Amino acid sequence: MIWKRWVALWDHREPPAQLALVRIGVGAVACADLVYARLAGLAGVLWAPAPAGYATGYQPWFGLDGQAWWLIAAIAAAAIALGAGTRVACLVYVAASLQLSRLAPASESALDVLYRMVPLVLACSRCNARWSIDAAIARALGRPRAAEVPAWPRYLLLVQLVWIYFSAGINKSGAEWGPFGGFTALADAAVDPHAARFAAGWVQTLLPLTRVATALAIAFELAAPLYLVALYRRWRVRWVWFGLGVAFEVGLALVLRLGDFPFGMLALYPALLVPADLQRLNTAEPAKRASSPS
Amino acid sequence: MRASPQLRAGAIAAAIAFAALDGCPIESVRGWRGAVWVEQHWRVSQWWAIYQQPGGTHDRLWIDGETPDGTWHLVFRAGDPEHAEDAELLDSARVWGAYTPAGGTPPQYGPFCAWISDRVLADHRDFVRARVRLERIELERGELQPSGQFEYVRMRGRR
Repeated sequence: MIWKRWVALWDHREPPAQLALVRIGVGAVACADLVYARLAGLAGVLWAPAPAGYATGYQPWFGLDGQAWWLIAAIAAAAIALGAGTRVACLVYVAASLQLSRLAPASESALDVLYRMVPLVLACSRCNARWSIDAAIARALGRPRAAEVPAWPRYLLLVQLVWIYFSAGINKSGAEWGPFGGFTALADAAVDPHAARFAAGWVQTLLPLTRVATALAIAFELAAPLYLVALYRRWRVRWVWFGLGVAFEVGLALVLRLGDFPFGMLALYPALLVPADLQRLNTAEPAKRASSPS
Repeated sequence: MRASPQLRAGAIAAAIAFAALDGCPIESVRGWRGAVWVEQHWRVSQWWAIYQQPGGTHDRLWIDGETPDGTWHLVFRAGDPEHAEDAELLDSARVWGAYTPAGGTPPQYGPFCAWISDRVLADHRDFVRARVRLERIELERGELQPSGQFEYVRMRGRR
């Protein structure tokens, strides 16, 4: 009985909008990060051996150097965002990211690790069924538009996102995350000279606010599994957790220099929604969408 | 029931079980050979430790250069707008992993120091040596307390 329900769960189908939004977001964030690395002069340092940079002595695949793998990764990320040869692009991006990671392991954030797994799930999905070059080509060839696609890749991404937050929550070992440390974790992070975006003067003024934000952040992370329950039960309270997540990531992006991490996490948020949340986007026929009540 | 949904559900169950072991908070479980192999070769993991301890003892990067008279001149200090040479590069989240210790010397610290030292020496023809070091600092209750104590000191002269 449990097995039958398990199989049925992963056999669901749904409209493709969420997966398409995740694909566009993931590809755009990955591509923007790589382009930024080039424009800021980082690409020629992180993934280049001495004396130009400080990459490891790793010999990348096929005899290509770090700059070539940067270019491959950037093109693959753009192709993911555009939905052009999506499956191949996802696999190529993961391979390129792996090469860049071996050349510059210290340059990696948790997002790089995540973005070596997410494209593998996207490669197995029909995330290119909407808003993609692949879909446009299929239409031009007379193939019918896919009204529904397998939902299991989105479910996996949903579980992945929830697990990241919960795992990050239970691994927070510093007392500053809890009442015995005065909930000062975010205030401490905001004065860390390596990560702080602004001079530290504001922190003492807004210390009570940072304590509230810390308490909300740790509650948000530890409550992550409850989102699955709320989603299953269709409880509206799930929007509180969703909103906290958005606020958490936007807050991190504002206060700390974490690179593309907050944006990369937000790119996965469409996976947290159910098809009904995106009803207008999920309406398959454009004509029907235009006539639906606003 | 069709075969493929059963296979898919089985594969997903196996993947989730593997991920659960890999991300287990208990270190002895997480350290099993399969997960370590995947992490080393594919550089992925389901153990997410993000900002575990933002407070307490941390480090602050200092870079300075020495003129022939033996005087050291500060060119960069993290979070110090008055000494911010190459800050656009050094402040990037992709770079600070190279000079932020996490239970020991960062793995690329040596090559990073050599690279930035050569860069400083190239930009300042009057410097005879460049020095990279990390000051131990305390972050507590939203305040930064410098200690004046340095570690991981690397010096490099002209070549």
